[in-house]
Amino acid sequence: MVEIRDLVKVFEDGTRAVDGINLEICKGEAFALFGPNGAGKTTLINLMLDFIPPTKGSIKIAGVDVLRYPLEAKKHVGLVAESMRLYEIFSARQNLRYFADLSGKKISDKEIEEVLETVGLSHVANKEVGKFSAGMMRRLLVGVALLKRPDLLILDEPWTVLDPEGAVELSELLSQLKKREKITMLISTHDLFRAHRIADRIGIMVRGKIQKIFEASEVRDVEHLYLKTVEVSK
Amino acid sequence: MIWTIAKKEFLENVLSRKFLLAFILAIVIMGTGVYCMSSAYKEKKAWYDAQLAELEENATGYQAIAQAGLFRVLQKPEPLTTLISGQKTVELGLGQVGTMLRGAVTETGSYTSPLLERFGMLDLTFIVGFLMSLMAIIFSYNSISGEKESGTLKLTLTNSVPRDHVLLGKYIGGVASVLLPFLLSMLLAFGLIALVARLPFSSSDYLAIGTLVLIGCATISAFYLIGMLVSCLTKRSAVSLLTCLFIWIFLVQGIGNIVSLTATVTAGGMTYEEYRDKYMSIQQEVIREYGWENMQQVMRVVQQRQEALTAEFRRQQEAQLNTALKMAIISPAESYRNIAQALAGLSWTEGESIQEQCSDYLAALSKEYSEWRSTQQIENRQRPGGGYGYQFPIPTSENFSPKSRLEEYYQPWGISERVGVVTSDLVAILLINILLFVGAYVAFLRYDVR
Repeated sequence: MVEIRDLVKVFEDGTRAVDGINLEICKGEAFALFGPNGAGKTTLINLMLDFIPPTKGSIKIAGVDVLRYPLEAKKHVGLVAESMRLYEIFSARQNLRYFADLSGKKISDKEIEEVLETVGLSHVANKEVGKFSAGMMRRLLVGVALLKRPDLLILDEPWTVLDPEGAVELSELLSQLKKREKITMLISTHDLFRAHRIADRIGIMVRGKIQKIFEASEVRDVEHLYLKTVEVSK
Repeated sequence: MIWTIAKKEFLENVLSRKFLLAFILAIVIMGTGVYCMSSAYKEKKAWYDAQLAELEENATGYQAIAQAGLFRVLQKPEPLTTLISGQKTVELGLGQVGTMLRGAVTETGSYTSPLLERFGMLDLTFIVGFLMSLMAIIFSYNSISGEKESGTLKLTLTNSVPRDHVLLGKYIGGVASVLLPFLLSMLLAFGLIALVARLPFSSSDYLAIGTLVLIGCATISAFYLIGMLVSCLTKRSAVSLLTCLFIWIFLVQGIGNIVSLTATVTAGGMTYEEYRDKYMSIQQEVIREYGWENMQQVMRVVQQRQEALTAEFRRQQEAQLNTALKMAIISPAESYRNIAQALAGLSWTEGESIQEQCSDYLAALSKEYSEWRSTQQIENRQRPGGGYGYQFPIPTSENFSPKSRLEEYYQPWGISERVGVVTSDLVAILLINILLFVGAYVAFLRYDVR
């Protein structure tokens, strides 16, 4: 589903944010990218969505070369990021309709209702998004990403800023999506404990490189892995 | 997709509080402005009609002219001044008319309410050049940087939407939302003019108003694009707002002073005080030069020099004005003001044309009188105060009507002539729109959405 080859991103100030990454994520797999601040996780996601050009390397999503056909590649990707919000003066349903129209796919009102049901927001579908809690907003963002039935769902720090209740609700939603919908996921996070419950594999990213990849089932002691990563990053 | 984005942008703006504020301000200012200016126009028109009636009654024939001593030309008030202020109902004095029938065409007075003089009028140029331009900036300063900050831009661009579609959609929807209060206020203005004031608009007036509305839309669009361009060049909406306000103050408020000062320095020329002092001193200079013996020659030389000085002063003023207007062309608000005043018949160039027409009229009047006088016998008879002297007979021609002759010479400009003098301003507004959009497009293509 995802093929990243020799990906390098060096910024104008000389920072090597992504330093020769090679990564493959299979269809239906959930891959968690764990690392400290400044490890290059968000830069990698920005490269995958063509928000910034790479210095070197290639990215393919669902067989589409992102660098050559960025608009086509975006049809296969849904993104939920910590920094994202929705239009606050519009209702949840209006927001979904708007982004459905932008997706480039024909999405019916029925499908929008299904998405609202999936993310558990049917009862507040006509409520202004500005009145939503952070957890509800995040779930609605997942709904927006799901609208276009993406082959790959990218989640950048999905649990950040959420209160415990909102974080649990989001985790449940992501687990359901993995089990029922078999959606391929790339989760970039600081929250290794939550990611471990959803991910099939966990990649440890430090200083622009994926240092090691573990099978989630192999990781018995998450706390140990966390501390080890923090130590490596120092 | 462009229309989807445009529709979202339009609704987002229209449902905001700033739109409500823009709407209320535009309606209130335009409504009260048109009502007050309609009243002022009616007063001017009534005064003009009264003066004209008096003129027609008293000033027919040479005899009447000689008795009145001074003949006046009245400039008819333009109905478009109910939308655009800046005009004085000009009363043009044609100098002393007597045995010599000579005089300069000068703007000698006008009827305006002291209230209007003191407070001015909030007219169409204020609505477009000040209020709507400010609203356009306020609507667009965060169109890109604000969406970046809120994260909605990143979300939009995760979809397969080309950036040019995003920019074009935001521009169309955003401009439409700013134009809505403007167009509604114009509708209100027309309603007031048609139903309450019942003014005698001609078809060319309606054409001029239509042109003004269209150019007004282009002017508002230019300011919207300024905000959009700045928004594409900044990452934070606070920085964008400050930059936009700085540019707006410069273009709307500051540029008048700057171009006036620059034009005075670069084009040179005397001030009005210098002109007045020189004008007043000419007579004494000539008397010192020629002495008191030949007064007829003295008066002729004085007149020639005063006319030459006035012509030079007006030429310098025109040069300064043209220099200033050329520089002010970078401001869409100033260009719009220039266009609006020209279409309402208030431009300097049209004023000069009227002056020339009046001069031609005076020359024709003078020539006709001289020809007539040459056919008359000059009598040497006793003066009323005693003694004998040559006296011209009092003219009694019944075939001469100053009013009809004036109409022959004084023709107000048509809309094509008025548009002709502001072609550069029209082109400038359109070019500024194109350049700003291209600038915003290039900046947005390179915009870092992270």
